[in-house]
Amino acid sequence: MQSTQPPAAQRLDSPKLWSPHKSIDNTFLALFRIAWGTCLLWQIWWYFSTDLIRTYYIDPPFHFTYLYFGWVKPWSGDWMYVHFFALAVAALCILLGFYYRLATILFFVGYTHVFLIDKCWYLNHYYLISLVSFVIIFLPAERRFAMDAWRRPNLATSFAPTWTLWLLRAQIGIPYFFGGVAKLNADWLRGEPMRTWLAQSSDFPLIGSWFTQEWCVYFMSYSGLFIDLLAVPCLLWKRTRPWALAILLMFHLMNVRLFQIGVFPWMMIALTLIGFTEPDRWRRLLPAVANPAQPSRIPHWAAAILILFLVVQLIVPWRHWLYPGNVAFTREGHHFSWRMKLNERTVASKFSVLPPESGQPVPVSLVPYVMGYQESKMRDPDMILQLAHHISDQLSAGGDRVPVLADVTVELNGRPPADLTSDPSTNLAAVPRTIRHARWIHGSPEDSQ
Amino acid sequence: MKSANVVKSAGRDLIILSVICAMAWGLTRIRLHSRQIERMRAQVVYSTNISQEAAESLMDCLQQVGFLNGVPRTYHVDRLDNVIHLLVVAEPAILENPQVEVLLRDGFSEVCRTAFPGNQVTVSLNDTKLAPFKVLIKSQQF
Repeated sequence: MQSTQPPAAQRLDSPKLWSPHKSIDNTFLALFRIAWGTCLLWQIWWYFSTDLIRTYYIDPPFHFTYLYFGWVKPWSGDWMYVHFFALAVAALCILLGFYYRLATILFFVGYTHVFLIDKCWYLNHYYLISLVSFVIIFLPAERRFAMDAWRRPNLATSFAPTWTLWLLRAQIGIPYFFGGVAKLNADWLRGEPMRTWLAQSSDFPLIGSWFTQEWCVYFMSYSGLFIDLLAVPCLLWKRTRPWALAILLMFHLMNVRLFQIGVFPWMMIALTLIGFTEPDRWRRLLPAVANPAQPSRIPHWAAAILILFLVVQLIVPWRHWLYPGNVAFTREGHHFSWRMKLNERTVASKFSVLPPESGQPVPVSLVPYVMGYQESKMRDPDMILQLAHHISDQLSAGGDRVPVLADVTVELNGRPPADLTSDPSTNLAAVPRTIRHARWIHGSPEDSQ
Repeated sequence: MKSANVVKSAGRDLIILSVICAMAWGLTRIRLHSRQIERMRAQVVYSTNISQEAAESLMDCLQQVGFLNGVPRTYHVDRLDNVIHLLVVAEPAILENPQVEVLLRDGFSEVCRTAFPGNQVTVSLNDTKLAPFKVLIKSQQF
């Protein structure tokens, strides 16, 4: 008869458990699946309840696409509602562990499609949802307390290989670590934009009156920095883990109140708690499996994909160093880099066209081209370029391309507006979209003086 | 016998899937409280003499977009989860007579673009309950 619990020698404290194929109790995977499915449902419900599906994906006649992903388009008409409904079904299936593998694949593909439609709506936690949705395809989270384990008893088990836990930890740890690294900049260290944000929340319960005091600004800035930077090592070290969990819980709960960032803080609370608590601690929460199957080994090809997946995530956030200038100002290399709640940045843009007959710039109203809320989200050079191309395409109507000029200013962390465009006479309609540095912009507010 | 089992389990799975679809459908029907929707989509127009009720609503909205108590400053009008744009159009004599027209729109209106070709609009309200606060709203749209 097989034991329903992993042998004591295979507890996570054991150094042997760094070996990826050792077995640990898999309750954490079942809890993770339930928590994750709940977060996904919340996210999908949010889209329906606010009708963002129409606002974001149906109404706009034009979408700002990611470079090389211009082929990703929304479905026509009201089919985006059907798409989101399918996502809700997939999220419920994940939560219940019903046709888990198929549901995880469908959710990942469907959600990533939505994520890639329009750059305007980029948020780091949407990116995280897409990443974790990919990771869970490989996690055997349907083998305990799941409908799949009930439907197919030979699938049920109380064990999971250790790599599942480390994969989960790596995926949760990456946003924390890079979120901390991104805070290592001069503005953050001098208390901006925390000073601005805290002052806006002086009605915060109990401690709001301190928010306008300098010591509080610095305390919050530096504690945010150290929490992000030290979260992973402190969570991994058994002695500091309870403290780290308590501090992170407070940190995320404060974020719930301070910022409107939707499901993200709750998602991080659930993932951190489940992913970094000792797996043995969850064991008694769920009934043990009577005749557990042995956990299956991960195929080499899947291991290779996951390792590559993590390596890419470890490289991509550094890419902004390849661009000249200050990433906070230029936004080149900003996306996919966990630069979360880092800057207070306002972009103001004026577009004009250069009719060949007059040669004088004529201001263009953006109303026919983009929705107002898209315009306010147009923050990086690539998006400005896309809009310039779009305006030119619309006005050219098959003839010679109409030159489009843009005058763009950026306010960064309380600084006065600074020109982003280095030469407002540059014809952006003739500038190709590229991954390389945009030569038509200034690198920092100081450059534009 | 085996095929009968397959049919039986397929039927069971279909029933479960139907229940899941029904649950998902129910989920998509759940709506936010109407007041929250009002704030989110912001299609309400408050105008003329500001009543206490309107002032409180304005206060709520301003709190949501973030305002600095007592200190004039620049605000970005695209908060509220990146959906709402709050436009505040102030009358010049607002300090003496706190008349204010607040347009909450899902997007920017041509009227406001025309009325305020400049970049900044200062709003001040003197109300015993609300005051003192000043909000300087700077639109990135003009």
